[in-house]
Amino acid sequence: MILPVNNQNHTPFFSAKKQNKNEKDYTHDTLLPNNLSTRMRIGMDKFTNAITLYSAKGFKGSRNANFYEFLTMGQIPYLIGSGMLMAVFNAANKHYNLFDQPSAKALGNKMALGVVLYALLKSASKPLVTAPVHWITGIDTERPYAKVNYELPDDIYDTDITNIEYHKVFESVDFSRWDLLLMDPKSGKPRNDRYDKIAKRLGMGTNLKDSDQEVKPRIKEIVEKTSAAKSITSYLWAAAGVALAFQKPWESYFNVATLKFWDTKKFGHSMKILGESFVKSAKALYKGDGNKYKHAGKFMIFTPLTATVLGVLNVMRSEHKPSKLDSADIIEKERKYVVN
Amino acid sequence: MQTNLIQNFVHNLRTPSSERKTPEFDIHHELQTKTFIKPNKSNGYLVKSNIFDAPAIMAKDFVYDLKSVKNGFNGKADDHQLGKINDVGLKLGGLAIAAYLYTKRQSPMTKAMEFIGLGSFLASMSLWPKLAIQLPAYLIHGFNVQQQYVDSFGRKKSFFQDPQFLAWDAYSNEKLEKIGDWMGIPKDIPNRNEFTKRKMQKVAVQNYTLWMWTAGFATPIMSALICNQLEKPVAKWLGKINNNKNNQNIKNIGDLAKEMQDNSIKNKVNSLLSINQNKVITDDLIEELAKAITTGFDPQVTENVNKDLRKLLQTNLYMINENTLNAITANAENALIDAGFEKETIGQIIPSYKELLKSFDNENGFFKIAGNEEMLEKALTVYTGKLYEKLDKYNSFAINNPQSNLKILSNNEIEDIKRILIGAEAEENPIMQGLKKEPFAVLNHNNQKLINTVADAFNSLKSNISATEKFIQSQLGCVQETTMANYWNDTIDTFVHGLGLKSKDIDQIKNDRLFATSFLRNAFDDIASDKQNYKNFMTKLIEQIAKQEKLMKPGDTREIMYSDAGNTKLDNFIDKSFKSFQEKIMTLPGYKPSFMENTLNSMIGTGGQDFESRNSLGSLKQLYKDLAYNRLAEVKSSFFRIINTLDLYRRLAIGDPKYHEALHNKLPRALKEEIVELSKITGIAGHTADYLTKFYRRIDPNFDETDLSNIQIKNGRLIYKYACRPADAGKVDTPQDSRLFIESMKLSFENTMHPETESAFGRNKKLLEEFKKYRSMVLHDVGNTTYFENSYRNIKEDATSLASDNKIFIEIGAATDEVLYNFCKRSSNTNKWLKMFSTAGAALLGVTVLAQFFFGRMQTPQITATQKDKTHA
Repeated sequence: MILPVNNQNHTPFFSAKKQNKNEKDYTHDTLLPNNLSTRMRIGMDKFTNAITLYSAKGFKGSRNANFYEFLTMGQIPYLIGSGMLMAVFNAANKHYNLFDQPSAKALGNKMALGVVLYALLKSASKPLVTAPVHWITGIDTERPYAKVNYELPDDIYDTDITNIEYHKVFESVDFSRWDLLLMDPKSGKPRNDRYDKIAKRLGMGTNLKDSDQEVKPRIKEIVEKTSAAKSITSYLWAAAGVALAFQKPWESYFNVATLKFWDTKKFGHSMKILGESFVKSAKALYKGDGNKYKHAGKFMIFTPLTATVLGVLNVMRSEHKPSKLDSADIIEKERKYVVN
Repeated sequence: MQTNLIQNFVHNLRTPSSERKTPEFDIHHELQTKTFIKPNKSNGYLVKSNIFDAPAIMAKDFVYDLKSVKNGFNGKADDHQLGKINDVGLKLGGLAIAAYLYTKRQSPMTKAMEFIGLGSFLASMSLWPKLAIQLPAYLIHGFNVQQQYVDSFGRKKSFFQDPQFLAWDAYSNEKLEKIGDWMGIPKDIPNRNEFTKRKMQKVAVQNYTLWMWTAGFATPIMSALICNQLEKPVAKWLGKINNNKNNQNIKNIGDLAKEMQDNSIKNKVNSLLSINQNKVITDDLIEELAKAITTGFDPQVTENVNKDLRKLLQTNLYMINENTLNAITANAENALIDAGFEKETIGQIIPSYKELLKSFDNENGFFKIAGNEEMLEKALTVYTGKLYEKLDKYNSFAINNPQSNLKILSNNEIEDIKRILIGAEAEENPIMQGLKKEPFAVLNHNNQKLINTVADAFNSLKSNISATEKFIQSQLGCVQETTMANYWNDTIDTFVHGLGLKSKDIDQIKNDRLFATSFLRNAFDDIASDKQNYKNFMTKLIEQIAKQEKLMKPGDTREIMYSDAGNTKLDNFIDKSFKSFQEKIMTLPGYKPSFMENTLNSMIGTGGQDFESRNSLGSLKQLYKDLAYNRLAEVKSSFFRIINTLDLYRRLAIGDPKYHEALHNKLPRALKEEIVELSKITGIAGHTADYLTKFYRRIDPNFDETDLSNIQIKNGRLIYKYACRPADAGKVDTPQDSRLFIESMKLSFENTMHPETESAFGRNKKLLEEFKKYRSMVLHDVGNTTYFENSYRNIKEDATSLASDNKIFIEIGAATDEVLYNFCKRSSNTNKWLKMFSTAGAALLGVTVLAQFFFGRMQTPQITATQKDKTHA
């Protein structure tokens, strides 16, 4: 099936069933705000789809299964693997000899906490790169959009042939969705409004005739650098999380840890100790334990920190200069062009 | 007619050749159908790799990854390269974790396992889909579901990762035909290859989904199992490295000491000296100096240095202060009380504190002034004057005021007072003693030189001791992964393996040591009752025990165990280090034998001034020598004990009286049986305490003394007539009867060793010699001694030695049942874990493989009648 290249203003209707407009959230590819609620909603949607719809399609070998679904299902081994990693170090503990249990438990708990902090710091550290880049350049490298995808019907009774995928505008640097950044004419703003602002922020000037053409190479460069810095630093922060989990002060939390939130007294106490243990562990990581590697903790903290700062600074560095285009080469917005 | 060549040429030129390069190409047809609009021919190709290409591929991928990172940071990367940067980040983060955990681990093995853990995790991530998905899928469906291809831009990608964009060009028709054949797709269906492709796509999608659902379970389990299996080989490899290092260390221990020279003592002392130079040496300063000088030594050494420095740093200067005055009055009062004067009288005749203060301070200016002996003599003269004055006043008052009831002192008494207080020699003179109460020393140049000399001696000794400790710790230390620990583990593994211990035995024994005793009792009986079995078991065990000689070279620590200390490299180095220490102390300016006396006595030994003449028993020097020897002896004794116990079992199993002479004809059979039983059990389970108390065993006190018959053996096992009856009633401890203990010890350690045991030593003659020494030593020290904890036990034999608890402990070694119990406790944990996760891993693998038999099920297209006809035509 050949799909329209740009379905932004189209609402294809392949279904035999009368289409109900409320059935899907989006009828065309839609730029979404990058805020907490959207991110949460997208995360939840992807997770539930990964473990239900996409997995079911995958196990059936659906001809509509695609790369997006495959990538989304990548969450499954992460989650199961995390749980399994915790289990490997904890599940057999209760079968050990009584005298061996405390030491096995202490190690197991640290391993489990290491898994949790690895995941937490890995995802929480990404904005440390992307947020400064956004503030400084005006480019939101994480901007999401909803993509309306059209599938082949499984059979003649299959009327629901659309599904929504959540992507990011700059998810692919080779095929970025530049078109989604153009302003809707209904908004009353110039079509290149977003590109104008970015150009201004990047010091490329204002009132550019074709700001989109001017800034695209620069945006591409920034997105690539941000992506590279994010990939490297997030794993370094994750490693710092594991190092933090292996500090002795956590043991006082493990002694009182409970997830029974309905027992408010105990749960509140455990949360208090959690906070205290976190602070003490962070200090312990920084100070080291007095052996010859006492600076290892500082190294674990300052390496990702330095890498993050350098990563952001690297984004600011650019060899791209505004191109000197001849006025004849510049596409005028008011004119209509025909592409042969 | 002649041929016109020119015409021919022109004709040929105008007539196009009928041979066309693409004869099937019909431009009219193409224009009509527009089939000429085709993508360019793909340059992509399927990656064919085998295990031999793996290193080259890995190197190529690594270079590509580095290039991706470079491009990423320069903003010149494409999507594919950005994906690779993520992989690089994953590995980098993993390395950071492993490196940090490496710093938290103590032993080389645990340190190495951190990196092995990372490697195994990354390997598992890649191995699981290959083993559990790719391989079975290939065998079932005939194609590689994880096939990689290189696209036209030279980027390596997974072929099926995006089922909507499959680069089928890379698959030739022949290959598709073959895959179709493997899949059993009928050959006569229309568009067979298209159907094959669709089926491949379906299988690939299903397998990818299966991979996603199983990888999370499989990777940690697989990684943990890999680590578990690698532990032993890695330990062996690291043990070898450690052992070579140890052998080098002892060979060049002097160089090692130089490497470990850190001058921390000198630096600390110099810092104290520079702060306090030319200041008064106070108690606190001496304490601080002693601590600095003995950095890294035990508190006993610090205390001795503290004492010695006080003596060493005193001068002839003294300070007269409050303490001095108090001491003078107290000394005078005590001296006169001792001489029988009344306290009331004394209070009237000796100068009081206030009077002395007034006299020393205001009148003579002695107070709070440091002075030499001359000043003290003057002070004594002043005191004498004051005393005389008070004596005169006192007697005059007493004579003139009889109503005061004061005792009038006779001339003799007055002379006595003068003699006691001021007439005695300086050493006994209470006033002079009081005046010398506050010796006064300054940290002058001379004293600094003394301190520096002592600090220098300790600084050199410390580096030598550090080298000694490093060697002992690394080779014989009571921690994991030393040469000794590895040797112990290997030997115990050999021993336990030979016992035929099963998983259920381990589960039972780990709960209680008594199960180990019972298991060993039966296992030893089984081994000893069969000649071949015994030979095999003993030969293997002894071969393993003999490996110690290869691991720790003779002469490094001890030539032959249980012999007197020889000139081993370690002993020589320790002697040399302490001798050098003493020589350095002897270079103290104005050296006298009393200098640093306490320190030298505690560190090198007492009883003489020369190094050689000092008795080193209990000294620090001897402690380091014994540390190495004792560790080795404890281990060796534990192993020899196993050999000896098994030898006992064998001797009893064959029932030849010449190998159990202790069970002589004069002993009643009941006692013989008790002795056999006791010997068998204590060989396995006896602790040092059992030997110290000469065995507590309750027996029937009224046994039949007339039955002197021999013990009865059947199938290598003793048939008890009297002992080991189920009913325990009536049995008592018999402390007055020493036969049980004496004969049991003789049976175990004195009676002739069985020839099969001796032959099991084979070429290990030195080990045999050690074993024989061990037997006679235990018999001498433990079996025939006056020393016993339980005083009521009556051992009347001619006792000759007095072995200490520690010596007995070293000679007895670890109880064999406890060794097995500990082994089972340790193994049980590993077994439990292994059982749990290997079962889970196997089940997961089974389900993963089985699931693939249900993948790729599609309805084969029906062949219509027309198509059939066409096919047949």
